[in-house]
Amino acid sequence: MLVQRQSLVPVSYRPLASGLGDPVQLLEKSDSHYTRSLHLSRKKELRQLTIAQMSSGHQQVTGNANSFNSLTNYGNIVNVAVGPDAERHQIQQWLSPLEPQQRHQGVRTDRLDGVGNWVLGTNKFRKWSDIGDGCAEPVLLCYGNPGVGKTYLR
Amino acid sequence: MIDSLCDQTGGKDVAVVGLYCDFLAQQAQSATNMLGAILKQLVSRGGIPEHIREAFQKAKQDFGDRGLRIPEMVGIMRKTIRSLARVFICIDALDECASKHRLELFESLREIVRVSPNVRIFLAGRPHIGDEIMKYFSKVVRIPVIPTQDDITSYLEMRLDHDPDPYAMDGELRADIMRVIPEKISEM
Repeated sequence: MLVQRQSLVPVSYRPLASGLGDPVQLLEKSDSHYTRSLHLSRKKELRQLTIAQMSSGHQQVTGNANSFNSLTNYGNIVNVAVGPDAERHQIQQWLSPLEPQQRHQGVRTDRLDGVGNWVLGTNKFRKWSDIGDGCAEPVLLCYGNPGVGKTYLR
Repeated sequence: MIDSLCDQTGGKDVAVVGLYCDFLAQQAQSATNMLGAILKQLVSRGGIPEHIREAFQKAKQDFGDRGLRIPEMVGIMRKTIRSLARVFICIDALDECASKHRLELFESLREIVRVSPNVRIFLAGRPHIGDEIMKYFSKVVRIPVIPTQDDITSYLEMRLDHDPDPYAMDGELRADIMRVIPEKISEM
Protein backbone atom coordinates (compact mmCIF):
# COMPACT_ATOMS: atom_id res chain seq x y z
CA MET A 1 0.00 0.00 0.00
CA LEU A 2 1.32 3.39 -0.84
CA VAL A 3 1.26 5.87 1.94
CA GLN A 4 -0.21 9.11 0.73
CA ARG A 5 2.07 12.02 1.33
CA GLN A 6 0.71 14.56 -1.04
CA SER A 7 -0.19 17.03 1.68
CA LEU A 8 3.46 17.28 2.56
CA VAL A 9 4.23 19.12 -0.64
CA PRO A 10 3.78 22.86 -0.52
CA VAL A 11 1.51 24.11 -3.27
CA SER A 12 4.27 26.16 -4.82
CA TYR A 13 6.12 22.99 -5.87
CA ARG A 14 3.17 21.27 -7.45
CA PRO A 15 3.61 22.55 -10.99
CA LEU A 16 7.03 20.94 -11.00
CA ALA A 17 5.64 17.48 -10.75
CA SER A 18 2.57 17.93 -12.87
CA GLY A 19 4.38 17.34 -16.16
CA LEU A 20 5.60 13.98 -14.92
CA GLY A 21 8.82 14.06 -16.84
CA ASP A 22 12.10 12.50 -15.91
CA PRO A 23 12.49 12.95 -12.15
CA VAL A 24 16.11 13.97 -12.47
CA GLN A 25 15.22 16.67 -14.96
CA LEU A 26 12.47 17.85 -12.70
CA LEU A 27 14.91 18.11 -9.88
CA GLU A 28 17.36 20.05 -11.98
CA LYS A 29 14.56 22.42 -12.87
CA SER A 30 13.50 22.79 -9.31
CA ASP A 31 17.10 23.39 -8.35
CA SER A 32 17.53 26.23 -10.77
CA HIS A 33 14.23 27.87 -10.06
CA TYR A 34 13.85 27.61 -6.37
CA THR A 35 16.77 26.20 -4.55
CA ARG A 36 20.02 27.35 -6.03
CA SER A 37 20.90 29.28 -2.95
CA LEU A 38 19.61 26.70 -0.55
CA HIS A 39 21.62 24.62 1.76
CA LEU A 40 22.45 21.18 0.45
CA SER A 41 20.36 19.36 2.99
CA ARG A 42 17.35 21.45 2.07
CA LYS A 43 17.87 20.54 -1.55
CA LYS A 44 17.76 16.94 -0.52
CA GLU A 45 14.51 17.51 1.29
CA LEU A 46 13.01 19.25 -1.69
CA ARG A 47 14.12 16.43 -3.91
CA GLN A 48 12.40 13.98 -1.63
CA LEU A 49 9.29 16.12 -1.55
CA THR A 50 9.17 16.22 -5.32
CA ILE A 51 9.53 12.50 -5.56
CA ALA A 52 6.96 11.92 -2.86
CA GLN A 53 4.59 14.14 -4.78
CA MET A 54 5.16 12.23 -7.99
CA SER A 55 4.70 8.87 -6.40
CA SER A 56 1.58 9.78 -4.51
CA GLY A 57 -0.07 12.03 -7.06
CA HIS A 58 0.21 9.93 -10.19
CA GLN A 59 -1.17 6.46 -10.46
CA GLN A 60 0.79 5.60 -13.56
CA VAL A 61 4.08 5.94 -11.73
CA THR A 62 3.15 3.37 -9.16
CA GLY A 63 1.78 1.09 -11.85
CA ASN A 64 5.09 0.87 -13.62
CA ALA A 65 7.54 -1.39 -11.90
CA ASN A 66 10.63 0.29 -13.34
CA SER A 67 9.61 3.78 -12.40
CA PHE A 68 8.69 2.57 -9.00
CA ASN A 69 12.12 1.10 -8.44
CA SER A 70 13.95 4.09 -9.79
CA LEU A 71 11.95 6.36 -7.53
CA THR A 72 12.66 4.34 -4.45
CA ASN A 73 16.36 4.54 -5.25
CA TYR A 74 16.34 8.21 -4.37
CA GLY A 75 15.98 7.54 -0.70
CA ASN A 76 13.27 5.14 0.28
CA ILE A 77 10.55 7.69 0.06
CA VAL A 78 7.91 5.32 -1.15
CA ASN A 79 7.01 3.47 1.97
CA VAL A 80 5.41 0.11 1.64
CA ALA A 81 3.72 -0.72 4.89
CA VAL A 82 2.59 -4.24 5.59
CA GLY A 83 1.56 -6.29 8.60
CA PRO A 84 1.39 -4.86 12.10
CA ASP A 85 3.50 -1.87 11.08
CA ALA A 86 0.83 -0.70 8.68
CA GLU A 87 -1.39 0.80 11.33
CA ARG A 88 1.51 2.40 13.11
CA HIS A 89 2.57 3.98 9.87
CA GLN A 90 -0.92 5.20 9.11
CA ILE A 91 -1.19 6.76 12.55
CA GLN A 92 2.13 8.52 12.20
CA GLN A 93 1.11 9.92 8.83
CA TRP A 94 -2.21 10.96 10.25
CA LEU A 95 -0.48 12.84 13.07
CA SER A 96 1.66 14.83 10.66
CA PRO A 97 3.15 14.63 7.18
CA LEU A 98 6.24 16.59 8.31
CA GLU A 99 9.55 14.73 8.70
CA PRO A 100 11.90 16.99 10.68
CA GLN A 101 14.34 14.13 11.21
CA GLN A 102 15.47 14.47 7.60
CA ARG A 103 16.60 18.02 8.10
CA HIS A 104 18.20 17.11 11.39
CA GLN A 105 20.37 14.52 9.69
CA GLY A 106 21.61 17.21 7.29
CA VAL A 107 22.45 19.52 10.19
CA ARG A 108 24.32 16.75 12.01
CA THR A 109 26.35 16.01 8.92
CA ASP A 110 27.35 19.61 8.25
CA ARG A 111 28.01 20.67 11.81
CA LEU A 112 31.56 21.59 12.77
CA ASP A 113 32.31 20.10 16.18
CA GLY A 114 33.16 22.55 18.90
CA VAL A 115 31.65 25.65 17.31
CA GLY A 116 29.05 27.21 19.58
CA ASN A 117 29.70 24.79 22.43
CA TRP A 118 30.11 27.71 24.82
CA VAL A 119 26.32 27.96 24.93
CA LEU A 120 26.12 24.53 26.56
CA GLY A 121 28.53 25.67 29.25
CA THR A 122 26.50 28.69 30.32
CA ASN A 123 24.69 28.60 33.65
CA LYS A 124 21.48 29.56 31.89
CA PHE A 125 21.61 26.48 29.72
CA ARG A 126 22.58 24.18 32.58
CA LYS A 127 19.79 25.39 34.79
CA TRP A 128 17.24 25.08 32.02
CA SER A 129 18.28 21.56 30.99
CA ASP A 130 18.68 20.32 34.56
CA ILE A 131 16.83 17.07 34.97
CA GLY A 132 15.24 18.07 38.29
CA ASP A 133 11.59 19.04 38.19
CA GLY A 134 10.03 22.40 38.80
CA CYS A 135 12.20 24.59 36.58
CA ALA A 136 10.99 28.15 37.02
CA GLU A 137 11.82 29.02 33.43
CA PRO A 138 10.88 26.23 31.09
CA VAL A 139 11.53 28.18 27.87
CA LEU A 140 15.03 28.84 26.56
CA LEU A 141 15.44 31.22 23.65
CA CYS A 142 18.64 31.46 21.63
CA TYR A 143 18.47 34.40 19.29
CA GLY A 144 20.86 35.93 16.83
CA ASN A 145 21.30 37.23 13.33
CA PRO A 146 21.21 34.96 10.31
CA GLY A 147 24.30 32.85 9.93
CA VAL A 148 25.63 33.09 13.50
CA GLY A 149 25.16 29.35 13.94
CA LYS A 150 21.94 28.96 15.91
CA THR A 151 20.93 25.88 13.96
CA TYR A 152 24.34 24.33 14.41
CA LEU A 153 24.55 24.60 18.18
CA ARG A 154 25.39 21.15 19.31
CA MET B 1 21.05 21.22 20.47
CA ILE B 2 18.99 18.12 19.89
CA ASP B 3 22.12 15.96 19.90
CA SER B 4 23.49 17.50 23.10
CA LEU B 5 20.24 16.96 24.90
CA CYS B 6 20.03 13.40 23.61
CA ASP B 7 23.56 12.61 24.77
CA GLN B 8 23.25 14.45 28.05
CA THR B 9 19.91 13.17 29.16
CA GLY B 10 19.82 9.74 27.53
CA GLY B 11 17.25 7.51 29.12
CA LYS B 12 14.15 5.75 28.05
CA ASP B 13 11.75 8.06 29.78
CA VAL B 14 13.35 11.25 28.43
CA ALA B 15 12.26 12.38 24.98
CA VAL B 16 14.00 14.96 22.82
CA VAL B 17 12.03 16.13 19.81
CA GLY B 18 12.67 18.82 17.24
CA LEU B 19 11.29 20.91 14.44
CA TYR B 20 12.92 23.07 11.79
CA CYS B 21 10.82 25.83 10.32
CA ASP B 22 11.45 26.65 6.69
CA PHE B 23 10.03 29.56 4.77
CA LEU B 24 9.83 27.38 1.67
CA ALA B 25 7.49 25.02 3.49
CA GLN B 26 5.32 27.59 5.25
CA GLN B 27 2.13 26.17 3.92
CA ALA B 28 2.84 22.61 5.02
CA GLN B 29 4.15 23.85 8.39
CA SER B 30 0.82 24.68 9.95
CA ALA B 31 0.52 24.66 13.71
CA THR B 32 -1.41 21.39 13.47
CA ASN B 33 1.25 19.72 11.36
CA MET B 34 4.03 21.02 13.59
CA LEU B 35 2.34 19.84 16.78
CA GLY B 36 1.62 16.56 15.02
CA ALA B 37 5.28 16.20 14.12
CA ILE B 38 6.21 16.70 17.79
CA LEU B 39 3.68 14.09 18.81
CA LYS B 40 4.87 11.70 16.13
CA GLN B 41 8.41 11.92 17.49
CA LEU B 42 7.22 11.45 21.05
CA VAL B 43 5.66 8.13 20.12
CA SER B 44 8.30 7.03 17.63
CA ARG B 45 10.28 4.86 20.01
CA GLY B 46 7.72 2.80 21.84
CA GLY B 47 4.42 1.50 20.60
CA ILE B 48 1.62 3.90 19.74
CA PRO B 49 -0.19 4.70 23.02
CA GLU B 50 -3.73 3.43 23.29
CA HIS B 51 -5.30 6.89 23.56
CA ILE B 52 -3.76 7.90 20.23
CA ARG B 53 -4.84 4.68 18.57
CA GLU B 54 -8.38 5.30 19.77
CA ALA B 55 -8.40 8.87 18.46
CA PHE B 56 -7.14 7.59 15.11
CA GLN B 57 -9.77 4.88 14.86
CA LYS B 58 -12.46 7.38 15.71
CA ALA B 59 -11.19 9.87 13.13
CA LYS B 60 -11.19 7.12 10.52
CA GLN B 61 -14.82 6.24 11.19
CA ASP B 62 -15.93 9.84 11.14
CA PHE B 63 -15.77 12.02 8.12
CA GLY B 64 -13.24 10.25 5.94
CA ASP B 65 -9.77 10.56 7.44
CA ARG B 66 -10.35 13.54 9.66
CA GLY B 67 -7.22 15.20 10.94
CA LEU B 68 -6.90 16.39 14.52
CA ARG B 69 -7.76 19.93 15.51
CA ILE B 70 -5.35 21.92 17.65
CA PRO B 71 -7.19 21.51 20.99
CA GLU B 72 -7.42 17.76 20.43
CA MET B 73 -3.77 17.65 19.50
CA VAL B 74 -2.83 19.52 22.69
CA GLY B 75 -4.95 17.17 24.77
CA ILE B 76 -3.31 14.10 23.26
CA MET B 77 0.10 15.63 23.73
CA ARG B 78 -0.54 16.30 27.41
CA LYS B 79 -1.52 12.68 27.95
CA THR B 80 1.52 11.44 26.07
CA ILE B 81 3.90 13.73 27.96
CA ARG B 82 2.51 12.58 31.28
CA SER B 83 4.01 9.13 30.76
CA LEU B 84 7.51 10.55 30.32
CA ALA B 85 9.90 11.91 32.94
CA ARG B 86 11.16 14.78 30.84
CA VAL B 87 10.40 16.13 27.38
CA PHE B 88 12.59 18.57 25.48
CA ILE B 89 10.94 20.28 22.51
CA CYS B 90 13.39 22.12 20.24
CA ILE B 91 12.17 24.43 17.49
CA ASP B 92 14.57 26.16 15.15
CA ALA B 93 14.20 29.09 12.73
CA LEU B 94 10.91 30.31 14.16
CA ASP B 95 11.22 33.48 12.11
CA GLU B 96 10.75 31.34 8.99
CA CYS B 97 7.39 30.09 10.15
CA ALA B 98 4.30 31.98 8.92
CA SER B 99 3.29 34.30 11.76
CA LYS B 100 -0.25 32.98 11.93
CA HIS B 101 1.02 29.44 12.40
CA ARG B 102 3.71 30.58 14.80
CA LEU B 103 1.25 32.30 17.12
CA GLU B 104 -1.00 29.24 17.13
CA LEU B 105 2.01 27.11 17.91
CA PHE B 106 3.07 29.38 20.80
CA GLU B 107 -0.43 29.32 22.20
CA SER B 108 -0.45 25.53 22.21
CA LEU B 109 3.04 25.31 23.68
CA ARG B 110 2.07 27.74 26.41
CA GLU B 111 -0.84 25.51 27.33
CA ILE B 112 1.40 22.44 27.35
CA VAL B 113 4.03 24.12 29.54
CA ARG B 114 1.33 25.33 31.91
CA VAL B 115 0.02 21.85 32.66
CA SER B 116 3.19 19.78 32.17
CA PRO B 117 6.05 20.77 34.51
CA ASN B 118 8.31 18.14 32.93
CA VAL B 119 8.49 19.97 29.59
CA ARG B 120 11.37 22.19 28.49
CA ILE B 121 11.17 24.20 25.32
CA PHE B 122 14.16 25.38 23.33
CA LEU B 123 13.44 28.04 20.72
CA ALA B 124 15.82 29.59 18.19
CA GLY B 125 15.39 32.37 15.68
CA ARG B 126 16.32 35.87 14.69
CA PRO B 127 16.24 38.58 17.34
CA HIS B 128 12.85 40.05 16.38
CA ILE B 129 10.92 36.95 17.45
CA GLY B 130 12.14 37.50 21.01
CA ASP B 131 9.47 40.07 21.85
CA GLU B 132 6.75 37.85 20.50
CA ILE B 133 7.95 34.92 22.59
CA MET B 134 8.09 37.08 25.72
CA LYS B 135 4.43 37.92 25.18
CA TYR B 136 3.43 34.27 25.21
CA PHE B 137 5.71 32.93 27.89
CA SER B 138 6.09 34.85 31.11
CA LYS B 139 9.50 33.49 32.00
CA VAL B 140 12.01 32.99 29.26
CA VAL B 141 15.74 32.38 29.59
CA ARG B 142 17.44 34.27 26.79
CA ILE B 143 20.89 33.62 25.37
CA PRO B 144 22.15 35.87 22.56
CA VAL B 145 24.15 33.79 20.09
CA ILE B 146 27.26 35.63 19.01
CA PRO B 147 30.06 33.53 17.58
CA THR B 148 33.29 33.65 19.58
CA GLN B 149 36.63 34.37 17.89
CA ASP B 150 37.49 30.68 18.25
CA ASP B 151 34.21 29.70 16.58
CA ILE B 152 34.91 32.00 13.67
CA THR B 153 38.51 30.86 13.29
CA SER B 154 37.74 27.16 13.31
CA TYR B 155 34.82 27.65 10.93
CA LEU B 156 36.98 29.63 8.50
CA GLU B 157 39.73 27.02 8.66
CA MET B 158 37.24 24.28 7.90
CA ARG B 159 35.83 26.21 4.93
CA LEU B 160 39.29 26.97 3.55
CA ASP B 161 40.34 23.35 3.93
CA HIS B 162 37.30 22.34 1.88
CA ASP B 163 37.81 25.01 -0.75
CA PRO B 164 36.39 23.74 -4.04
CA ASP B 165 38.76 26.03 -6.01
CA PRO B 166 42.10 25.57 -4.23
CA TYR B 167 44.10 26.75 -7.25
CA ALA B 168 42.80 30.28 -6.67
CA MET B 169 44.09 30.31 -3.11
CA ASP B 170 47.53 31.17 -1.85
CA GLY B 171 49.12 31.72 1.52
CA GLU B 172 48.68 35.46 1.40
CA LEU B 173 44.99 35.39 0.52
CA ARG B 174 44.39 32.77 3.17
CA ALA B 175 46.12 34.92 5.77
CA ASP B 176 44.06 37.93 4.71
CA ILE B 177 40.82 35.98 5.03
CA MET B 178 41.79 34.70 8.45
CA ARG B 179 42.57 38.24 9.58
CA VAL B 180 39.88 40.38 7.94
CA ILE B 181 36.73 38.29 8.37
CA PRO B 182 37.00 37.88 12.17
CA GLU B 183 37.68 41.64 12.41
CA LYS B 184 34.63 42.50 10.34
CA ILE B 185 32.43 40.16 12.32
CA SER B 186 33.50 41.58 15.65
CA GLU B 187 32.62 45.05 14.36
CA MET B 188 29.10 43.95 13.51
